[in-house]
Amino acid sequence: MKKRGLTIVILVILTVIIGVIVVDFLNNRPDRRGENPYALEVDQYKVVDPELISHKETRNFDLGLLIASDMSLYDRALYVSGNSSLVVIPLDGRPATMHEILPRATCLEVDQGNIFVGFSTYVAKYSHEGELLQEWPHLGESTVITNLAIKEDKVFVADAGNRRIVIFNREGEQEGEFEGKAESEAGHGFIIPSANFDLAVNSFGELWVVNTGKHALENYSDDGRMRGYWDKASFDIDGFMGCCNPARITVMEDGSFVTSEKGIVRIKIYDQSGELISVVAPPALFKKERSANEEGKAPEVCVDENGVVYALDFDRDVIRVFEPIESE
Amino acid sequence: MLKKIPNLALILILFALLTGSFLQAQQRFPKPEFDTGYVQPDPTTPEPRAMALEYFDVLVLLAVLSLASWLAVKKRSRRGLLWLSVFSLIYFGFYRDGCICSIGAIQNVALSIFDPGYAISITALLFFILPLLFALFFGRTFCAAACPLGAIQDLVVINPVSIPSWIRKTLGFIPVIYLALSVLFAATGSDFIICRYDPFVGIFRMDGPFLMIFLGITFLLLGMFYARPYCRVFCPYGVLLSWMSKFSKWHLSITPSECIKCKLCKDSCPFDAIEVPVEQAYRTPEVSRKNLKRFILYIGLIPVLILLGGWIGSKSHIFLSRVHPDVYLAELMISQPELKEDEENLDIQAFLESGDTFEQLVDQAAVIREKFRKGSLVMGGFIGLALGITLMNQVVFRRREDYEPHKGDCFSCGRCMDYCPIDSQKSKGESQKLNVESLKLKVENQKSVKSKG
Repeated sequence: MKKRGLTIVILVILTVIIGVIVVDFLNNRPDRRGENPYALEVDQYKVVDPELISHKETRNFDLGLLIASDMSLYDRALYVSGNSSLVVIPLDGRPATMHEILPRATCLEVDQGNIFVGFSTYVAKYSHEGELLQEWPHLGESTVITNLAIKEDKVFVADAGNRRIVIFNREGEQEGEFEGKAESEAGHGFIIPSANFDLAVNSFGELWVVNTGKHALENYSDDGRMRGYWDKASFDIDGFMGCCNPARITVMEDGSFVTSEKGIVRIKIYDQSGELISVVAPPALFKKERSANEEGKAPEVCVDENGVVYALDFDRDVIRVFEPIESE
Repeated sequence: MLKKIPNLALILILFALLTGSFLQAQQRFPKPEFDTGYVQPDPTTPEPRAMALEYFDVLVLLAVLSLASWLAVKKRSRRGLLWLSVFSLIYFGFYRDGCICSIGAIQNVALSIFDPGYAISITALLFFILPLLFALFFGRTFCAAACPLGAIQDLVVINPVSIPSWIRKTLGFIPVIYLALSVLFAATGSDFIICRYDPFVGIFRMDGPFLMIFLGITFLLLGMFYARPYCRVFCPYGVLLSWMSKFSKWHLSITPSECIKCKLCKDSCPFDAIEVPVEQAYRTPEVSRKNLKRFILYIGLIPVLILLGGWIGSKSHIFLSRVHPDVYLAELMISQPELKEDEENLDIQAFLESGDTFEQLVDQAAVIREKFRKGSLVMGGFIGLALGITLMNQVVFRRREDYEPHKGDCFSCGRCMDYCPIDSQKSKGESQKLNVESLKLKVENQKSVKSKG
């Protein structure tokens, strides 16, 4: 009797196992799956403490039909590349001027002498009158130039395709290149998962490069030796998240950084050592409704001597102006 | 030999250290920060291994199979087999996370045969072939000591119950169906169901979906009373091993010399895999004539069963083809076109993002369904054939004087050898000639004492 009872129990358990497997198998179908348990819920990270917000949006510049690719601030004027045009927008209210340039510019940088425009695989030098002065040599098929920085007689070119910074003189002669590698653990080299690779030279002449894969900002000498870095990988407001952030940076007069992030779009200010100072623009100010696969693009950012941040919003093709909130 | 063991151990430790540091060096991209509440998905497969380590796994398998065969056939050591199975459990189970395994390799082999775009790794191929080769010569020594799934179940056998033969044989047909379905689904690129419903991989990895853990624990609890339930009622690889083992020349034997028919071996086997001597009553001309008639009937039935199975298979191909995600998705998008707008439906959104057109999906689904039509026909025929042969085997009585292990069902675990009084006498190294009569008497006495107790 005992044996018979155990046999029945065994058969019942085996039937349950088979039943569970069959039910699970039949239910694992595209229209019968439950909620994705591993969905990354990011809404909570879009909320920013109002106390942290240091700027407010005061005005914007509509770029009309221009599909902008990059922006630079020089001598109280914003320089914007896009389509086959270079638009100069004086901040004092004078009318904008437009120059025709080669098509498909990806980035630009301006100083007192010239306007340097980056294309996918090469750089071109223009005069302030919009005259093409030089086309520099192509850097190879896998090159993807994403940003430029100027320091005196050197032009640093960020090549995301080859994960390197190429150093030119102002005449377009290549003087060197570096990949951010060093003997220390920090010197892994640039990890650039996407075409977001920015760099900037601050008012002290320091070259800072964003190592987006490591969520780090790295300081290099002019010949490419790493001198220091800071990194902040976090989902919280004081860090950077995702594959490639901060996607864009610029530097303030005092050496602080203005960072711009993709994915959950936000603009923040960090001090030189990487401590969060404030939030310029929280995610709520950027396009809210995106499809599941549409990614928020990081606005290009510039900052003037008064701490006013200019953000080129690629979703709306406008330049948005964020002025510091006056403290009481 | 014993002096060489420390040297071997040293080499193994050095190998492990060197390969371990090599693997660590492969981590070249910083992991994203997920400290803030994100639940990481359970991995479905372990991280890739260096090629050298995969070959090392094959070497370990080969060594374990060789040692197991030697322990079962020559050394006749149950204890040796037990410790070897514990090693396999630790190595192939907990260390290798239950992957790669010979059972799952069936699917890799099936896919590689039917999909020219899929190249099977040499490791997977060897994991599939080696146990079968050993089974062909030495019986199912893989089940005895090399299979981590078998080992973990073997360790929990507490009070095994012998269930009626007809139920056992009916349950024993489930692995044939499971094998046929898993080959069909793998060959059509639909699913690897053996891996998905491997009940112990969650335990080996100390992680896994709820269902996997639930199945693992349930099988282990069940295994306390019905020994090795997965091996006997589900394991599709066991079907192939069983076929091979039936032809094995050097299969494990219960007794090293003359069987005294004490039945201790039969009581010791938790798998009901000991065949009893054929009684005189079955050897009468009447019984033989009756069996012959049934044999002829079953032989005649086999083509009918094959045709019937093939017909049922071909009729069910539409239902079965829905297992393939492309077929299901095509049907779903035809019947419910509004789902294209459903951003929560990851499968549909993934398809839309792939850049393929709906027409391409439908064409692809038609090609897959055609594969299923042919595959289901063959699968049904195969199941019919297996059923026919199983029926035929019921009336084939081979002349058998002693208690013998069933070559197909025996896992070569060696319990019967351990219980055999002849074997124990031999192993004790008694120099005098074995006195069969005195042993019989001894066993009878022991049994009577037991029954009185």
